[in-house]
Amino acid sequence: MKCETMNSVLTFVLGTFVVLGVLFAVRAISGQRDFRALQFGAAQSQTGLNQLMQLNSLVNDTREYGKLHPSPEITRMLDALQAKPATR
Amino acid sequence: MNDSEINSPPAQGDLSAQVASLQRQVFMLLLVLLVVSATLVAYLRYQDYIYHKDAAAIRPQAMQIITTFNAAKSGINQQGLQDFLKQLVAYGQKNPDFAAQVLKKYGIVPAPPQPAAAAPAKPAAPAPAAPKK
Repeated sequence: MKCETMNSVLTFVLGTFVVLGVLFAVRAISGQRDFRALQFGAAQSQTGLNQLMQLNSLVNDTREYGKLHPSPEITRMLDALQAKPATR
Repeated sequence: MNDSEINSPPAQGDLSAQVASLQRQVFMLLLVLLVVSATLVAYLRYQDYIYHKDAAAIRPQAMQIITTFNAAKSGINQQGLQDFLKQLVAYGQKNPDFAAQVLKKYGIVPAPPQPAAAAPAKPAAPAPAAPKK
């Protein structure tokens, strides 16, 4: 009788652990997804920002080149770009 | 256990001993299972804690980068930019000096201009070295 009670208690505790295990597994998976999504989004955005900075630098270099070697074509290109700014 | 043991009716005392032995086994197995599941639960709890902590740690920075990029991207005229790049490449084809000084720095290599059909085939002269800025 005593053994049966003990088994019941153990089974109950085991059941509780199973429920907790499932709960923590779901939470861990959700946390992992969240973390990965943030990492991926930040990496993508960082790459995009780097490209934008490069683009900005290209525009500046073109402007500098246009100052050293004045050309109506460069001026026209830069004016067209400034009319609708490409970068902030 | 062989056939004779299964088929012959066991004595009452033997049966009780077997039941007691099975109860002990079940108890031991439950205990082992409990220890294993407790370890698993502890591990999953730890993983949950670590991932949430890491996500919380990078969230402000990541959100800042994503917001900055989205704001920058929204202010871009994609079509205008494409046109500008095309014009730059076209200009670089006509002006090798510009291609060497500016475009090359950004990995933009304009295709060489198409040679005239009547012109005799000659090996392309090496591009002049880009003067240092």
